[in-house]
Amino acid sequence: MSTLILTQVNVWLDVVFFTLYPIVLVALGVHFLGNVLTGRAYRRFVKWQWPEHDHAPIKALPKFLHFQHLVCIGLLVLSGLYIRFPFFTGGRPFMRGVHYFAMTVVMVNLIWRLWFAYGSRVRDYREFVVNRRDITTMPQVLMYYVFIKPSKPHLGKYNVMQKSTYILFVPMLIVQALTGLALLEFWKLPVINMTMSDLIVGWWLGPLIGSTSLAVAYARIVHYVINWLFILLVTIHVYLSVSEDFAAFLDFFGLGFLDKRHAQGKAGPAASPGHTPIPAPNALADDVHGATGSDLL
Amino acid sequence: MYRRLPLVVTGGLLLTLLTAGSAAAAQPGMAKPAPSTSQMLSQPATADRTATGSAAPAKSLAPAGTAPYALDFTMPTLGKSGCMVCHGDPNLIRIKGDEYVSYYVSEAVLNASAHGPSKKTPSGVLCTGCHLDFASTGKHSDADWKRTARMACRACHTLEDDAYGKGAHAVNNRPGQTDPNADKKPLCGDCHGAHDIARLDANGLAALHRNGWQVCGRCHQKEWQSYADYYHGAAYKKGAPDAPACWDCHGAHEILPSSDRRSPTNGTNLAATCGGETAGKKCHTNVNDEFLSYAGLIHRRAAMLRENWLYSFIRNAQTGISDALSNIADAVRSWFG
Repeated sequence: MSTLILTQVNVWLDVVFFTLYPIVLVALGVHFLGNVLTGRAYRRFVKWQWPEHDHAPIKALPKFLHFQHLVCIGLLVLSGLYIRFPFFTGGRPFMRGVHYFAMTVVMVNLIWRLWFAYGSRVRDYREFVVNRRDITTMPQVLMYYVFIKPSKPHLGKYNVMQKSTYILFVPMLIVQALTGLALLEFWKLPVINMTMSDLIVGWWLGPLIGSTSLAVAYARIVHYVINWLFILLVTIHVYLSVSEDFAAFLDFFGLGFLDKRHAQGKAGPAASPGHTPIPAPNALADDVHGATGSDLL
Repeated sequence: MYRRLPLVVTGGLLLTLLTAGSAAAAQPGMAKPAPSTSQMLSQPATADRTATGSAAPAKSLAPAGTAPYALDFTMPTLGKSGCMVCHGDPNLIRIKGDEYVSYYVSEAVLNASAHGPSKKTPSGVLCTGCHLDFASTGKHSDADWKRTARMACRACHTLEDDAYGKGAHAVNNRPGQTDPNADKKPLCGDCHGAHDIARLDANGLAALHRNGWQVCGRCHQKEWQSYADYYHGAAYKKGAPDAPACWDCHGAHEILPSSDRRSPTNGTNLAATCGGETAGKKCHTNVNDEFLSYAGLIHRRAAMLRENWLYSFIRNAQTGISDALSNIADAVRSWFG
């Protein structure tokens, strides 16, 4: 990469993402307007009809795990953006500390979640596998979200877009952690006497492109891009959890609850006023869009 | 030769008597009391002599042919006597044109400064250690007086003065040609301050590190504004202790323009500058030419952002939309009177 591109990339990344993010916010606003115009918002927020849930009620542990994960991701975004664009005086060392602390918690979460998916008694990794039916029904899911179809196929706990996003989060988190650690240019590991930069990118990327410092510069670019991907995906995730399943959203924050009689798709009378599940019109019922409702993280 | 001895001895005795007389008068509380603030305000000549040089020649007892000194003037001593009798008064001001100019020196600030009492110099540096010409009654302009006070540092800080003399801040007189920018060139005091120069302990160094605007930015405002990349300027301006201050890259006393090959920010020296140590900490490791291209962002990033076509388009669109909304709002307001 020429020197010109290296400096231009630095500027372009900011311009692109600071342009893209408001566009995404506007797009989500337009999407919500679509919900209003098609009557979905009326059915959900006025009639209080929300999707049925396979896993209601949501237990306390997943709620706690999701909540602390949310806090850590929020801290990571806030402290990370502060490190790049310091917006108040004197907080850089503190924010770095916050950033690395939150990263450690998120990594513990990730390891635990992978163990839960593959090693625990539950082994729910199948919930995330994108299978053939997911791919063949993907157009219908997309058409539902752009208001061409009134419903989307309900194939499992998560739809294909959720599965893809959650699967993508795993390598993104790992790469983000590694590139973040690679920015530690001065702290030497005690036994091997190498910096984290040398250990992660210096020994292989450094010789290829000229120096460890340059390799760290590239790591920083990757770290910054993934940071924005997280911000974009999490924003969409929050929007959909509110617009598609606000009942589960409230339940997660202790402001409402999901009736367990509505679990397993068995719709019954509303357990509380205004809490009416959407009856499944056919086999292609509204999906359990319970990302926040049943996802453990 | 010996025939002139009585004349010399007589002259010497006379001079001794005169000097002793003026020294006795200089003892605080013994003879002429120090002028009060009201006296200072009502007697500009005296005030000039004490603070900014002498505008009106006073009675001089110095031998003819030497600089006129007011030897009967209160001698500076330690504590709240001598200079501090007057300059320790917070109300010591002069009216210069439309401005009140303070001549107050805070003893607490002075004592806490690098020139205050320390183990090495228990008495600290006396006022006359820097204000060398304090009692001169010769004609001084304000500029002369300030120059003397602000260049007094060279008497002790010779290495720094030598380096300063080689840099772009030094007056650059050439044979037959006076430096046209001589009046604009900064002296020691312009960057370092006066009575509050911080001690070079951990707190003082931290304070100095934060002081980029005061030291450099006030004059180099364009460079200060453009010091806005993330890792250096933006972080520095928000108080990051590990972000470089101006002098960490540009050097301290031997300041040179980046176009000068001796400057640490000249392209030929960038590797040593970026890969060197700042405050005992190495900034970047194994720097190469490609990595050094990032140095262009340090003062150029804001300009690069402005040159970015997408960014310009968005800013123009923002301005256009904002103006249009403003026009619409004005039109609506005009409809309703």
